[in-house]
Amino acid sequence: MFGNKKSNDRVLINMAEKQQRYEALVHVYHKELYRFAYWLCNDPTIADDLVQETFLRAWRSLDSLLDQKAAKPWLLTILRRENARRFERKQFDYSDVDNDTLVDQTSHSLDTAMEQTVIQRQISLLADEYKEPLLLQVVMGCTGDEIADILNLNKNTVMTRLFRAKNQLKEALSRDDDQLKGASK
Amino acid sequence: MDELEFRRRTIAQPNELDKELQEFANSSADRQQFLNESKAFDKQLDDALDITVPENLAERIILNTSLKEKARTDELEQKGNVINARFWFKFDRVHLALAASFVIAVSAFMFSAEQNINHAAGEHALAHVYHEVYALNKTQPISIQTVNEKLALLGGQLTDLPGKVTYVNFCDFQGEKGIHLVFESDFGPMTVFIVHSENKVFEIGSGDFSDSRYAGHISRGKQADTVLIASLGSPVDMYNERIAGAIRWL
Repeated sequence: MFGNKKSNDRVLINMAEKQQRYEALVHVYHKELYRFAYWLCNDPTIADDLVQETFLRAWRSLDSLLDQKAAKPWLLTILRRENARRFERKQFDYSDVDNDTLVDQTSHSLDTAMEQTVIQRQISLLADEYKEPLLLQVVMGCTGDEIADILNLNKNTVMTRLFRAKNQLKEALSRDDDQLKGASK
Repeated sequence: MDELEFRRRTIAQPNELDKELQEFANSSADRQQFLNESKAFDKQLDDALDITVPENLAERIILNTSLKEKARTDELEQKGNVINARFWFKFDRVHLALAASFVIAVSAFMFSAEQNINHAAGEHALAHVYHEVYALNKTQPISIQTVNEKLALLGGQLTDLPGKVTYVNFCDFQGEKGIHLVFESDFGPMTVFIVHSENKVFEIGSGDFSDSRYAGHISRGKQADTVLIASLGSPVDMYNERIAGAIRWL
């Protein structure tokens, strides 16, 4: 009888510990994950849903996360899978989002705001194979090794894709810059 | 390390340079500047993507998870209950058969020993419990109004019981109409029979009775007898007065 009570207590303590671990995880990663999801799908509502679903699944398999340091790639893997599931269910036409609606940051000046809008638009125009590694690096702060793990690519491929993504952006930005200058003449 | 490789790797991962690359960058002011520009570009991208996260997102996530998990465990429990109910159904048939033979045995006993029925009242009550043993497994609550609609036909009224009522039915107690009800107590389901005392159905025998599974008590009243039957080991005494006191007669 005492043994039973003890094991009940143990279960309760474990549950409380799990809840604590989970809440810490949510607080540390929800912002980055939301941003990543947002730029991945270009829609605030879907991003919100994706993050909610990711953390719900994370809760259900929290016991499988043994190393707290592995939490970020683990969460990202869940989120990417959820995002892929979305396309399995139905291919919604979200790609042609009017990017003007996406501007949401605290802008410093009109110039910066305009430049940021241009960057946002260009990033959303990148092919997924370039966009994903870039978002993982810039938004999630992942290292090359982590990106390689998450995307199941080798390190050199990740490096090449990051290089190409940024080169494409630079080119597009300088083109836009010229156009802007041309327009203001 | 050549210039091209340096530029490729610096553009790709300006914040993740290995020692070799770092030394190569330090060896020239141009390369140093290129490295700084690449870092600045990454920062510019980061700033452009730094959108505002919806307020209370973390709290909503935690709430959403706990609600969905609650709904899921409830659903699983419900499935478990269905399986349980199936189990009980099978179990019940065995019980019913047992109860039926028990009833026959009791009637035979009463028939043969009509003059010697000291325990008849309790045994009769127990037989009735076994006869309708499925009533003990109900969990859907029944409102006190429904109970009172039935009890009104006997001229009684119930204020409240120490637990929700899960079964109520008219029953025949040796030709006397009565109410058979079950409520959930802290000690499991308890059965209450309320039967008019006119025909003295429960008149004979001791007030307390028990068998290997149940124990009970008969409170004999002016208008009706109230019989309480609970699992063996439950504090029947504690409930007797509360039950008898809960019924008012018009």
